[in-house]
Amino acid sequence: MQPGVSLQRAGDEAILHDRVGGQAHVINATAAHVWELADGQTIDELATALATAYDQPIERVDPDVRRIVARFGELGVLTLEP
Amino acid sequence: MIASPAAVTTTGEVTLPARSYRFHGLAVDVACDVPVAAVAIDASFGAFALDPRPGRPAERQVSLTRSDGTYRLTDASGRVAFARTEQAAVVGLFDRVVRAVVDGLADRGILAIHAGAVVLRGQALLLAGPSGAGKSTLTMALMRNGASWLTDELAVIDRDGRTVLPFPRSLHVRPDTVTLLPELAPVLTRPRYDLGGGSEFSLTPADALVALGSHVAGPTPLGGVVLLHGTPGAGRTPHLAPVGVAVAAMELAHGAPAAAEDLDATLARLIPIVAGVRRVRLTVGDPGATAHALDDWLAAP
Repeated sequence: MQPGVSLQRAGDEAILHDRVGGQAHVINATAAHVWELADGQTIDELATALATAYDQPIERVDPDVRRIVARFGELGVLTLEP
Repeated sequence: MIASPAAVTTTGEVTLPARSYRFHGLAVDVACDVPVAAVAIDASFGAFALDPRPGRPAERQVSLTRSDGTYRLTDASGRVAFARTEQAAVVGLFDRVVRAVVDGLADRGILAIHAGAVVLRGQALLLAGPSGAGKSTLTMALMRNGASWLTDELAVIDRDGRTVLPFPRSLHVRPDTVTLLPELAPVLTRPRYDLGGGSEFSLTPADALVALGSHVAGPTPLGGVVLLHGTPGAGRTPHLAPVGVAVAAMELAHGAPAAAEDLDATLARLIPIVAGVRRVRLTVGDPGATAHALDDWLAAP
C-alpha cells in the first residue's frame, strides 16, 4: 500500500482517498475488502482470504481479486512486489 | 434591504463605515469605501443585515478600500490582496465575505456546502451539482411549485448532522432563467451584479414571496440529497436514478469548502449524513416537470 491512502466505508461502497496523489475513488464492497486485507499479502493469500470470507470457491474469487489488485496498481495506491 | 452604516471599523490607517451581517450567530463586518461593491454585497446579504451596535467587536471582518486607482482587499485572516479593476474588487470582496461566513460557521461546527436547498413535504432537499447545473433554477422552480426556501447557493448543515439551516442569500437570477420561469420577469427591471457567476439579478426573500409565492423556511431535517446532472431546458424530460452513499458523499464533498482543508474529515461527516436520507441523481429537464418528478420521488414510500 502507498502511504497516505485511507479508506472510509460508505454504505455498500467505500471511498479510497489518496492524499499524496490528490485523488479519491469510489470502490465497491469487495474492492474495499481486498484493500483492507492487502497489506503484505500475496495475491494467492488474498484470494484465499476472500474466498473464505464470502464462502466461495477460490477459483471463482481469484479472477476478481487479480482484477481489483491490478486496478489498485493502475490507480497508484498499491505497489505490487515481485 | 440596505443595512445602515454600522460600527466604525479600522483597517490599517483607514477608518471606514462597516456594514454588519449575522449568519446563524456569526457576525461579519464588511468595511468598504467602494459604493458599488457595498451595494452589491447588500443586494446579496441584506437578509442577514444586523442592526448597528457601535463598539461591538467584530468577529470576522473583511474590507475593501480604494486608493490611487488600486483596490485593496483584506480577508478575515488579515491577508491582503489587490485588484486592478472595480469589477475584480467587487468579486474579490464577495468571495471574501463568503469565505468568512464558511470559515466562521465551520468554527461553530456547521458544515457549508455549495448546493441549493428547499423544503418539500416537510423535508429538506439538498440540490448539489457543478456550476451551471441549474441549482438556482431548480430551487426557484420548486419554490414556484410549493416548496419553501432554504438557499440557492450555500446549504448549511447544523452540527447535529441532520438539520439544514436557512441561508437566504438573495437568489441570483441569470437573465436566461427568466425564459424558463416567467414569474421572474419583474426582476428584469432591477440592477444586475456580476459577483463571479456572470451578470445576474438579485431576488430578495421579499421578492421571492411576491414572484414565486414562497417563503424562507426554518431549520428543517434533511430528507434527501439530489445530485444534479445536465442543464435545465424547456420541454426536456427529467430522469431520476438511485445513487449510493459513497458517490453522494463524494459529490457533496466537491462542493464543501471544508474538503479542501481536510477531505477525510469532511467525508467522515458527510457519510453518515447522506446514509440516513434518500439519494438520487437527477438529469434535469423542464423546470416544472423536474419539480413534479422530485415531488413524486419524495412522496413515494
